[in-house]
Amino acid sequence: MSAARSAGAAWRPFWLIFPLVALGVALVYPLGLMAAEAFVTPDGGHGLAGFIAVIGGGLFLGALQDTVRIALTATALCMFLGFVLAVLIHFVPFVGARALSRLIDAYLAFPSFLIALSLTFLYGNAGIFGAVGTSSGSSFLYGFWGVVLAEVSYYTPFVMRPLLAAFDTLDHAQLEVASSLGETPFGVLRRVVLPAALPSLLAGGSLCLLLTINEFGIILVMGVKDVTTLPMLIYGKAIEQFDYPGASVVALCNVALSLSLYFGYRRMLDRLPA
Amino acid sequence: MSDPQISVRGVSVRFGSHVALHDVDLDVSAGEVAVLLGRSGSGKTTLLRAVAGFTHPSEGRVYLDGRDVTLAPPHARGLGMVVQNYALFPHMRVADNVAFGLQARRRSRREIDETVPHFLEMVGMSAFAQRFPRELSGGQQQRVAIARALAIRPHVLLLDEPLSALDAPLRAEMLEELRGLHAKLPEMSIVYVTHDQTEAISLGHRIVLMRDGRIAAEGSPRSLHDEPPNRYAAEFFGQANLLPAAIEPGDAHGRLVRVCVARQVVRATRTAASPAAGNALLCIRPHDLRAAAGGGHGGDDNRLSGRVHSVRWLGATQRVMLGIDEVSIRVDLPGNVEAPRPGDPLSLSFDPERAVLLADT
Repeated sequence: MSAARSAGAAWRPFWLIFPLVALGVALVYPLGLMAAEAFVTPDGGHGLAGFIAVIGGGLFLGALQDTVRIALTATALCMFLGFVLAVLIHFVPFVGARALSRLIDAYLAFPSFLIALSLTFLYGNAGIFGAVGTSSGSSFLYGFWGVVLAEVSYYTPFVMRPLLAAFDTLDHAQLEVASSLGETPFGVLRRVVLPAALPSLLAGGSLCLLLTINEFGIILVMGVKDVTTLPMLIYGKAIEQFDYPGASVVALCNVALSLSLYFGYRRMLDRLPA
Repeated sequence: MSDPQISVRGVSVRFGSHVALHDVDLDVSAGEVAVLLGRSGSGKTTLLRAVAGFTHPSEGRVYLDGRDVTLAPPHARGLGMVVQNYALFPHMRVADNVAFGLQARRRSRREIDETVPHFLEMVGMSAFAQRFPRELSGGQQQRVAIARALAIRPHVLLLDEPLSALDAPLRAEMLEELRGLHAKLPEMSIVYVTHDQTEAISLGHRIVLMRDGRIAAEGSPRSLHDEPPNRYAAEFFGQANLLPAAIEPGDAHGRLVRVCVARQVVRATRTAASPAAGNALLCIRPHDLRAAAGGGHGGDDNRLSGRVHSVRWLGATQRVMLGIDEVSIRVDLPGNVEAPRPGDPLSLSFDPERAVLLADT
């Protein structure tokens, strides 16, 4: 028995080889190539000159600023709207609340560009409400608030889903006791419901932030003119200008931004009371 | 008599086609402990929730201190409430839980700082003020829940099966503490919901026995125990033996009457709930029966004789099941006497004042 066990232990490293090789070939190697490309100089050598030139350029800084502004604004609005809608669906009894909750699940399966396309039909230059927000002959949809509107429309359910799950596990006796102690419905929401749902709200919000930082399909389909985000800049440099070293620099920065947000999010969750 | 602190008038509660409460009237005076006792689904919690404002009556009115609060939201009623699972706020420390109601009422920081330690001390939880609820035992959590409810100094405290999640020794301890708390706050009315008659007897000035959304009986624990008004009250409250009996002709008057039970004549007490003549139920508690010395049955010494079916030793007592003709009755004999054996004949005697006659309905 123990001989068989020790033989099994001896084979254990072997079983790790395949997934490690697959991971290396499919993920680490291409990322390594991209990272190496980022440090190729204009004369074909290697160094920091090309890297510094890209990240010091106005195009990159503008894209970084637009990306962060859009992501933060969309995430804040998604969290606010998601919380309000989840509270309404869960706590305000109305016919069809359950069906609506299911619809949200289905909505998560939609591709993001569908939302962009449908908004174009509504607010695009040739859309039904094409004149809304028009000041310079172009609809607001092709600017900052258009992207935010599309991202809020698409990503709000990503906040609502974990919130609805958290509300399902909330002890309703707590709400009743809070009410009997003299707290108003708004006070109960603020002092009991919100703290209980905070980890889920932050989890949904963080997911939203990560996804909006990297959002590409919505902006591409909308044909946005007034803002450039990091993914759009990568696309432009790689596909339109064939500037692969430049695209790799922006992509590295995009990855660094996403990873820092992710680790910040993990750290914040660890600090929350259980 | 002063106006009741809680007054429920003709309250019915319907959930769709299900009627959870039928036309219930209830008054609770200042300082009184009223226990709503009944099985699951009897309507006791629905009645409590109607008083608290969590359930709106389909009909009837609810008054608190003479004020009609039927449509008032729970936060405007000024009641303290403690529920079965404590419902402490998990993200708040013990002191913040107790301060919750005071903050909701916009009390000053100074008042909160004075009140919270006072009530934590009253429930013996001063040393735990900075703990989170998850760091407390069930009994400790219940103490915090009580302190939280009392901190707003309510005139009425509602307790919905507050001890049912605790084990038996802790429950007994908490019952004593609740009695002690009420002694410290004698003006406060308490409405206490339970399905446990020991809790009801220990705490209640008055027991309201609920059944199928109606009040089946109400009265002091002793009156309900000694003179149950109906069959349900007798069976639920104290597991009384109910023996078919016929009132002897000519015994239509007087407090003590002779009745024939399984062809044996014994004496029993007539109460307001007794029929005047004819068939009745003889209600006698298992612990009011004692093994009679010598044989014989019936007659002046109030004996019933039968044959032992089974004996179960329970420590302080032993439960004997005795067959008298077709009827089987429960007898609790002291645990320290020699137990009869199954099949033995056994004569039981009882005080006629401890056996009451009920209508056979």
